[in-house]
Amino acid sequence: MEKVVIDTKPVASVDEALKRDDALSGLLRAIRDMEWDDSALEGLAKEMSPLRQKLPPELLRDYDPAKPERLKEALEDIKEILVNRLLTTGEGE
Amino acid sequence: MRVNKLNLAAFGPFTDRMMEFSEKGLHIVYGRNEAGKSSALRGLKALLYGIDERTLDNFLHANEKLRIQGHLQTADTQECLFVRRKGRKNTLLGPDGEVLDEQMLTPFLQSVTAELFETLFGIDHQALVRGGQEILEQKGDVGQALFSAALGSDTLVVRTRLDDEADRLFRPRGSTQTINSAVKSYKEIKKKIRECSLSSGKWVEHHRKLTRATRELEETKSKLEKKRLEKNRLQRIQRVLPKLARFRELAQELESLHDVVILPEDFANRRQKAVRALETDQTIVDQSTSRLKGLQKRFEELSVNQALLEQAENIEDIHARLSGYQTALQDRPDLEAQSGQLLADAKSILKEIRPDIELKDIEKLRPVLTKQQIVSGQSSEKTALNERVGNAESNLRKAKRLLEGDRKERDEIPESAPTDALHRAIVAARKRGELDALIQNRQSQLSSLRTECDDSLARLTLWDGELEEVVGLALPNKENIDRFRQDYENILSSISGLEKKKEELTDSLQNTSQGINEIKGVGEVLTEADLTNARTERDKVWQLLRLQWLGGEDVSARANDYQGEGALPDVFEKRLTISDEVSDRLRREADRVQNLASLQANHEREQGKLKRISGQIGTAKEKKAQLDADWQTLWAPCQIDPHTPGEMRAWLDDFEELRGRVEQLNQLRNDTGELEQNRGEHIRQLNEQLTGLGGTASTSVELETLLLECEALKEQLDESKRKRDSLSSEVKKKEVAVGSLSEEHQLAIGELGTWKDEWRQLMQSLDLKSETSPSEAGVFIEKLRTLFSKQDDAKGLQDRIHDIDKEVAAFREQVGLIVPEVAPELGDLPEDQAGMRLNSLLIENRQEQTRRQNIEEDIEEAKAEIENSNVSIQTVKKKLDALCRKAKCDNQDQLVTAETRSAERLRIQEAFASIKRDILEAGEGSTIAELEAQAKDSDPDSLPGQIEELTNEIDDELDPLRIELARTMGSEQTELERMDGSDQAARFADDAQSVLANIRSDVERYVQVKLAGKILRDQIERYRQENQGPLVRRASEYFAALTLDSFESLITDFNEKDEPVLIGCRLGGERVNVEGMSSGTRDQLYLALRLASLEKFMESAEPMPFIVDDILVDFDDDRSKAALNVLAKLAKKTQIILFTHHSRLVEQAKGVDGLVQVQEL
Repeated sequence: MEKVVIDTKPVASVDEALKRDDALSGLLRAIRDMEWDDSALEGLAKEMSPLRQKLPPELLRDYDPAKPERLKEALEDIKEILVNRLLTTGEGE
Repeated sequence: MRVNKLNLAAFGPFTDRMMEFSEKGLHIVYGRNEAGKSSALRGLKALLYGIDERTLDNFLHANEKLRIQGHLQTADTQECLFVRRKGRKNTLLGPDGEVLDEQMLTPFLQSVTAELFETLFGIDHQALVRGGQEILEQKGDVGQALFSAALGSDTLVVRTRLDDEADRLFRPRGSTQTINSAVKSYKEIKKKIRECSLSSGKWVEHHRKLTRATRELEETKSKLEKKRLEKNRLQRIQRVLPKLARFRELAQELESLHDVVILPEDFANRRQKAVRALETDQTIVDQSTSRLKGLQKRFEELSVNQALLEQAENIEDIHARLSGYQTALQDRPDLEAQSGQLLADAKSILKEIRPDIELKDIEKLRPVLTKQQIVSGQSSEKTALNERVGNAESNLRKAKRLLEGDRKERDEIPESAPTDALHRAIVAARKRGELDALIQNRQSQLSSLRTECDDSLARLTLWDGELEEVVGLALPNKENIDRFRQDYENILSSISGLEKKKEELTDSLQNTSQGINEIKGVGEVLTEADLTNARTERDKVWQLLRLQWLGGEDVSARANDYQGEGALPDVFEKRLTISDEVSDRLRREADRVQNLASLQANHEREQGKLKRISGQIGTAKEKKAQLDADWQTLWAPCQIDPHTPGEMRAWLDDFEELRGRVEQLNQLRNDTGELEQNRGEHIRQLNEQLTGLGGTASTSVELETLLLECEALKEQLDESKRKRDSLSSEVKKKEVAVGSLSEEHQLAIGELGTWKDEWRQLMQSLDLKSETSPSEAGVFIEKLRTLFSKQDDAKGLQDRIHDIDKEVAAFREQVGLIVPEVAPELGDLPEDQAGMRLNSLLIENRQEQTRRQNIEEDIEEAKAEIENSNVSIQTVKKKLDALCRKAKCDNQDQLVTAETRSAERLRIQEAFASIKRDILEAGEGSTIAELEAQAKDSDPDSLPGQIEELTNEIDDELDPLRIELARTMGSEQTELERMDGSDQAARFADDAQSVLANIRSDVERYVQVKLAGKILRDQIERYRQENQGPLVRRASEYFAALTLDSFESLITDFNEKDEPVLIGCRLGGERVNVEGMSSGTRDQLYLALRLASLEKFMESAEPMPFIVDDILVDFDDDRSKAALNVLAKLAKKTQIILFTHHSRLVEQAKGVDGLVQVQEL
């Protein structure tokens, strides 16, 4: 076995919160809309430009972090990271 | 949603503990330590979201028995009564124990998760302090503060941690970060892989060179070894030749000394030692014999007085008493004279003080001496009493004088009117603060705000009303606008997507048509239908032919259709050929046919899709038109032609801001009017008091001027009254003092009279006159004491003279007894000289006796020495005889020669052994016989030349050649190892893949955390832009209320980096940034922001209960009460439950405006 790629999805989605109008739901809506917003994806890709320049071509052939489909994949994880951290910052400090 | 009832039926320390929260207003749950406040708080959360799997609230009730009952109600009066039990599923039960679906709570909780509920609708002291600290750490950043307060979360920490994690993974110019480092490793591995792939031709060349170098090196080493062996052999022979000659000489010398006795090493030493001992002992015998004779002679010459020595103790006693005897004889006359003088003095004193008494009768006066202390005490007492009477008279006179002075001064000050009413008027005016400055400030603010409002109104587009109409203008709410914006976005997005798809389909359709045309352009394309037609035609003709041929039927009528093509068989053949051709072409052109068929199918499908999409576009546009109409309708009542919802939302924010300012303007105007009216009332009251106290009414419109005048008058009147009161008090005090001093004076005079009586009685007891003064009585007693002293001294001297006489008699008797017995020649001398002489004789006799004893000891010692030495002489002689026998000598005189010959033989033996060792060492393993044999064949003169020749050959030729060949071998081996990269390259490739996989994993993580940080920052800024105005305005009101107007408002400003920051404004206009606020004030700022965010949440969603856990512990009493007022006010809009351990809050809550319910655990 050469490599294992882990691709998981949450059991319960946080999309329910999209119906409200508060800071968290605004954040979630923004992440959801980015998936269909080419200019937003371009902005995210631009953030990845310095990293992309340093990566070996062999990796870019397989995984290019600036490609829209990769960025869309990452958005789901980003959403989970932000929700989890924003709602648990006070714990254990 | 509200929690109307919470029944902790079996949870934590509670059993069936019911709490009612159904009444509107602030609910306070109070419990002392260990009353279960925290358990109740956990119980409330557990009711809504389930009991934690690892709960610690099962110490009283077992896990399966834990139950919490609750009653919830939404704003639209939807209600729900249920029971929560602990478990993994089916934890929601109905009142009768039936299992309820968890979804039943959705309308109440509205997708607010447990975590969100904790952060957004819960606040405890720790969260409050952390929030205040966060505001400080982010230096009042508006966006950050609003976003954090909106989530109840520390977004700065989240951002920082995300950025830190991203920085640890990758930096554009970094080298040690995980990804940077891994990429570097990957490049290095790739380089190694490249280096491993060298051509095989070079490998063969290097291998050949290595083989040749190895062979030549072996040959050279063998040759080198042989040359070195030969060189060593010649060098060995060269070294041993002179040693062999010496070896032979020594062997001959040793042979000549073969009969010499070899003596031990210490032989000479032993012999010399014995001879020296013999000589020493003989000398001692001679000297001791001579000394013995001299000692015996001296002993006989010494003599001793034995009787004298026997009386030594008595003689020493006499000598010891001699000095006392002489002194006593000398002192006696002086003592008699002193005694006589003392008795004469005593008689003289007695005659002076009591001439009526003889000296022998004076003992009866001795008791008088005991009264001396009493007389002395009475004397001191009289002095003190005299002084007391004098002081009392002086103090009385002084006090009377001061009393008169104070009375006179008091009577000169007139009585003043009371100033209480004036004081009340001043205090009332001062209590209102600096009204003049406040009014001026308000007027200035009013003017400034008015200008701002006018400017804002002028800038406001789309509406032409006046400022006065702004407050009352009814506008669509934000939720409606947001809904329209969302609808517009959706519909436009939908239309855009559909248009895009339509374009794509149109392009695709064109491409498909072009493909079809291209295929058809090459030539006719046969289809399956063509083949079917051809075969049908063929079969028709065949059927006719078959009927004619086999059935004999006449088919000419039916064959008319084919008349022009010839006979029926020909027609059939023609049809058969055609169908075969069609079939062949179909097979040959199958690809073209298939492509055409595929293109045609696609063409039809895409046409269908295009039609559907066109229909959808039409529908979407109709919807948009309807939306446009609704949008216009929405704004029609306020006579505004609206722009897009996004623009109108921004316009509404501007308008709301203007409306807020106008409201503020109106409020400010009202406040200013009230303040001016208030000031006028105070001025009137003050003037009234001023004239009532004899002053002149002021005409100033400024309150401060009038206040200063009133305060000056009041101060003057108060000072005058204070001074008169003070003097009156002093007069009273001094009158009392004069009375006390008079009493003291009378008392002192009385005590002096008493003393005089006592003194008179004392003098009578001493046989003195009653007029005798204390000093005279003292002199009398003192002289009497001297008289007794002298008499006692005289008696002591008489006793001493008597003792001297006794001692003299005893001394004389003792001397008289000893002298005739031991030294009769001293009988004529006085006793003291005889005593001294006896002592001298005793000392001399003792010395003589000591000398005799010493000489006796010396004689014994000399005799012992002579005897010992004679024994030693015999022993030494025996030792010398033994040495002679060992050396084979006849007498001891031959011993020296024997020692010399023995030493010579030993020396040659040593040299022989040494040269033998040298030869064997130089021979490197060869025996002496072998070496002699080798040396025999060698020419000593040619040896150096042969050795030099071999050395040159080894050093200049063979050794350099060996080194060069070894180096060549090494470099060729290295080169071959480097080139031997076949399996190494594969290993490197594995490593590269492994590193690449790690990089990918790290890159994926970097993408997540880096973009999460960026998105969070962007959203914080977006949230600020959309909500800053209303949120800060609402928070400002809360902040002012929580700080008791210590801060008038909260505004936003820009820092030195042009970033928007929060600023607190004090009443006088002073601006304070968050760094300048105390930690308590920052906590209150955070609370204000949280409450404002909570209100915003309520605008767009069902309100949720706000759970407050003892956040007021650090607030002072006033601010704590202010916070309770704020919470009570907010509790009218949403349910607030405050949990606390502090009874102080319960007490303060009694004075809060609004309904407050307190429940004690």
